[in-house]
Amino acid sequence: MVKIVLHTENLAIGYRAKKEDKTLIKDINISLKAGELVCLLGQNGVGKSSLLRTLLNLQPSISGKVFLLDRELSKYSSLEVAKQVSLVLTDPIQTGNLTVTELVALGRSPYTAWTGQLSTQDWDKVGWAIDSTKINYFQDKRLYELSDGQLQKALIARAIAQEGELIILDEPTAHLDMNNRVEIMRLLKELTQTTGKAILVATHELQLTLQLADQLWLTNFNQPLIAGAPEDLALSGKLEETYYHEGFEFDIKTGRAELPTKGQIPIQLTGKGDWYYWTANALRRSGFHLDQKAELKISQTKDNSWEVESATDIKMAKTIDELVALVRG
Amino acid sequence: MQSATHVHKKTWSRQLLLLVVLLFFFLILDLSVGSVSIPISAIFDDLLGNDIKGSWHQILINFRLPKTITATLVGMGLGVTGMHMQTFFRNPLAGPFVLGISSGASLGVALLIMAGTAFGFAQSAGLTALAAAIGASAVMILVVITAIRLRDNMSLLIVGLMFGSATGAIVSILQFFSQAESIQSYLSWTFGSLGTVTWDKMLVFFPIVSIGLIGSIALLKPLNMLLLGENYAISMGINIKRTRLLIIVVASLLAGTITAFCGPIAFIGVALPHLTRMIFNTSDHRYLFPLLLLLGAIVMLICDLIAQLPGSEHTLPINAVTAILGAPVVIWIIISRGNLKRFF
Repeated sequence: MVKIVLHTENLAIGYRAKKEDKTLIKDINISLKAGELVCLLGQNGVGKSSLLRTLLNLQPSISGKVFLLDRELSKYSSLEVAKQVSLVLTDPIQTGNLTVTELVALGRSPYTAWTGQLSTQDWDKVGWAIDSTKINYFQDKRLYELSDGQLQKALIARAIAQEGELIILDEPTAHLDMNNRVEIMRLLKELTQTTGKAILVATHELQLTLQLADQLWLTNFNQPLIAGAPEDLALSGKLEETYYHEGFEFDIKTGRAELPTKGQIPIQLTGKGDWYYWTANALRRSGFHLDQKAELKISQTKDNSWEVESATDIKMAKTIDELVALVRG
Repeated sequence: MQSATHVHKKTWSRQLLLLVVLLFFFLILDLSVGSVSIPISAIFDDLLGNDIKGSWHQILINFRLPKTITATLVGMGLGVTGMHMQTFFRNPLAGPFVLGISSGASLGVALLIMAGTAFGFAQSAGLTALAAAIGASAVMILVVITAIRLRDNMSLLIVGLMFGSATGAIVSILQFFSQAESIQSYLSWTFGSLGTVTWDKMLVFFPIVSIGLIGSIALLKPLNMLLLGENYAISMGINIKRTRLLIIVVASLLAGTITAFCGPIAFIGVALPHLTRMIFNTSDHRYLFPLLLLLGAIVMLICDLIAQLPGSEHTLPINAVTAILGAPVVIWIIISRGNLKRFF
C-alpha cells in the first residue's frame, strides 16, 4: 500500500470576500502518493496558484477539507507544515550574496534552534540535498553569479534539504531555456524515484509532463479538477478540452499549435521527409497554402535544393530564405 | 562543505578581533580628543586609579565617558535598526529615517517640547524618550499596516516618505504657534548631539538601547529566513506575526530612543548595514550582526572625533558630520564594488 501524502475532500478554492466568495475551482477530490510526480496543468488565471496556496494552508479554502498525511491541514501549525511540505516559488530571490550552500542550509530552518545553528546531522542533510540535485560544482558560488537554471536547481536543493514528504513547485521552468526546462523536469522525476518524495508541479510544460508525470491534474475555467494518468486523459479527450482554444488547434502528441493558414496563394509542393515538412512550414508562414493543382510548383532536387517552376520559367533556390524571396517575387 | 563554513568562521573571527582592537583604539582616542586635549597616558592612569589633574578627571568622567558610551550605542543601535528594516522590507533603501520612524520620533519630541511647554509639562529625559518612542512606534505601526496592504516595496517607500512629510508639516505648524525658546530647543535637538546624554539620562538610555540590541539576537534566525522573501520564510515555518511585532518593537526602541536623546541622526542607519555587507561580504545575519555592532560603534566614534574639530573650541552638529563623511564613503564603496544589489 503506497503512502498517501495529501488528499482532499470536496475542496473548493477561490477568494473569500466580504460580499460574495469567488470560487475558482470546486469539487476537488485528489490524492497525492509518495514517490509520484504530479503535474498541475491549466491556463493562466484558472486558479493553479490559488490551489497550491490552499494546499499549503496559506489561503483559506471556500469549503471542503485538505488532509496532510492523515491529519487535517488546518490542525497543523505552520512549523509542522514546514516539516512536511517545502516550496519552490516564482517569487524573485532578492538576495544575491548568499552562497548556494548557505541557501540550501536555510532549508534546515524548521529543525534548528532559535540561534539557527546547524548540527552535524543538519549539514549531512544539506550535503545530501546538494548531491541529489547534482549542484556540487557550483555550491560555493554566490546567488548573483548563477544562471536562471542553476538558481532554480539551488532552490530545489533547498526544498529537498527541508525534508518532509511533499515538495510543491510553482512554474519552476518559467524563464528557462529549452535544455534547462528538460533538465529541471527530469531532475524532479528522478528525485521522486531516489527520495520517495511526492512532487507537485504547476507547469505549462505539456510535452514534458506527458513524458514524465505519473499523474496530471487538469484545471479548467468553471469546471471540476480532473485527475488521472496522462495517457488516460489524452485518450478520453480531456487533455484536448483543457487546451482547447478558439482560432487554432493544438496537437497534443507533438505539442504543435496548428495555426490557421492565412495564405491565399496556392502553391504545389512535391518532396519527402524533413525537406517537405520544413518547406511546407516556410510556405505557410509566408502566406501560401498547399494545393496540388496550383500553377506555381516547388519540387525537391537531388541535392535537397528547391526547384521553382512557374508558367514562364524555372528557377533554383539554395536556401529557404532564397526560396521565400523567389516565390514572393 | 562544513570545512568551507569552518574557513569562513575562522576569517570571521579574525575580522571580529580586528574590529575589537579598532574599537578599543577609537574609544581611547575619543576620550582624549576635544576642546581640552587629554593625553592618552593620563586616561590610562585615570582608569588604573592613579591621580591625574583634577580638571582632566572631571572632564573625563562627567563629559567624555558618557559621550563616548553614547556614540558607541548610537552607532550600534542605528546600524542594527537599518539592518532589520532592510531585510524585513527587502529594500536596500530602507532605514529608520526613510520609512518615517525618525520623523515619528521627531513629531513626538516636537509635541512634547512645543505643545508640552504651552500646557506646562515638565521636561525630563525620560519623558522626551517616551515621547520619541511613542511617535516612532506610531509611525512604524502605520508603515507596517500599509506594508501588509501594499506588499510592494516601492509604494511602501513612497508611503514612508509621505508619512515623513506629513509629520514634518505638523512639526512646522507647531513651530508656527510656539515661542522662540521652545523652537530653539527643538531645533538644537534636530542638529543631533552625542553630548546630551549625561549620567542621569544614561540610566534610561543605556538599558533601553541594550534591551533593543539584546532583543535583536532573537531576530537573527528569522531575518535569515526572510532573506528569501516572506513567502519562503512562512513555508519554512517562521512565526511571521511574532517576527513582525518583534521587529517593530526593537526598531521603535532603538531608533526611537536614540532619536529622542541624540536627535535625528541621518545616514548611519541606511549606510552601515551596506557598508558591513560589502566589506565583510556576507548576508548571513548571524555573522553580520556582531560585525555591524562593532563597525557601527567605530564609525560613530570617528564621526564624533571629526565633530570635535580637534584643536578648536567648536563642535559640529553630529548630524551634519555623519552625512558629510558618510555619503562620499558609501558612494565610493558602491562604485568600487560595482553593484550594491549583489551584496544585499
